[in-house]
Amino acid sequence: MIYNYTDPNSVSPIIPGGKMIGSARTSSQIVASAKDILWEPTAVAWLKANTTSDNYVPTIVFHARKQGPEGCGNDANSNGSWISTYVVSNLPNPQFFKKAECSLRSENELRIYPYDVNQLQSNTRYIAEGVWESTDSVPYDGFIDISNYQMQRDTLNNYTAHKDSMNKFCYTRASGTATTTWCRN
Amino acid sequence: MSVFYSICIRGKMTLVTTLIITLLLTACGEQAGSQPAVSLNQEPAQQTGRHQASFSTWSYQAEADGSQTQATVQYNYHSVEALKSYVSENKKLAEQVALKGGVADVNVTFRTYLQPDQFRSWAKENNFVPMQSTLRIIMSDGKRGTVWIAAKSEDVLPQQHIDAALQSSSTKESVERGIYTTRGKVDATKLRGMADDPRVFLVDVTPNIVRSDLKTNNIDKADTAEVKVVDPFWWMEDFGLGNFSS
Repeated sequence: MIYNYTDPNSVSPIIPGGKMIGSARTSSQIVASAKDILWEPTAVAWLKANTTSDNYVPTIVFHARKQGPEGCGNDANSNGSWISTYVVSNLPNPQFFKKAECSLRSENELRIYPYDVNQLQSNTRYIAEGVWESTDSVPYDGFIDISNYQMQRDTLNNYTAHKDSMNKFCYTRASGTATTTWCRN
Repeated sequence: MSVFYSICIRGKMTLVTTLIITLLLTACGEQAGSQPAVSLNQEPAQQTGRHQASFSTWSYQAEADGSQTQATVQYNYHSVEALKSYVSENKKLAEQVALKGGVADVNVTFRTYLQPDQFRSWAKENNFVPMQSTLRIIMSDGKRGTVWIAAKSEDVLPQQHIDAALQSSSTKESVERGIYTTRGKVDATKLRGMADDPRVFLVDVTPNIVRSDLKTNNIDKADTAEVKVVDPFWWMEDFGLGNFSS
């Protein structure tokens, strides 16, 4: 099952095209990928013009959570019990940052961003992919959401200029691979 | 003293300025008043907010929100000389960190790519405990790919994580270059030897200096602050690794 959200505060043109793919790799490991992340020339120009003053960079954010008692649809009742084992990206000079999201107990939030937006190229297909391994006895029934933000690079990273899109994959042991697209593809 | 702290947390003061103002307040009798803000037997209140400081070749900015404290180190990466100056500064700082003893939190950048087994040998030689290491791959379109590999208990560089990363549909046609940076912990007595190792370009010890400086300035959660430092390898590749071979 795939849930798609578009934030009402989304600001064109920085929303990238692309697709998100999630798949179960083993009984305790899931892969979430943002593939073909593609900013058009107007988006790159906008980002370059609006990044330098306060370090706001486009950031791909992953959240991995276990399903709560009410299933995938209710984030609030979910719990985190995942560790990321590896992360891959071809963004320019990508930086990778893990944190515990809100009150969850494990490092279930992962952010990937290019350090220098000036090296970002338009019409280039970028990827950001993370793999999570379940750390408890319950296998991988859970979900991962992938979002695109324009976010502060150098401080707490809690300040978001724009949250542009969010998609959520919901996994069960039988769900296999799920794919969805961002706002453009 | 409240003025002192409010200035401090707005991040406008360096260590030297802090010291000067503290001395002036003392000289003016501020701390000898009838109702001192901080009792001699009491730890000063931990501050939240933003804080920043500059050193000779680098600076940092930090923010504490009460639940966590995070800092980012910045340095000049626009020339070969600037990168080498940052390395020299870190060698001096490593002496300070070594004198304090204990375990140091460091980011190590190599002069060129190490094959996984070379990296494992290097980590063993230095009793280095990595948290994560970074592998350079060249993607099928010729672009640089970056793979972060998490260590797993006693396994400093799990081969199964590398294999899995290179079997993804995005990476399966890529070419593996090698490990170029690692972040982890090491006994502080090892720092000098690590910095002088010909395989190593930079032993970045600034996270230790930042935490110490945050603590000096009574910033909340200084000891556990997350300190982010960008490794210089991307820029080294841009300039040509031959410029950093010795």
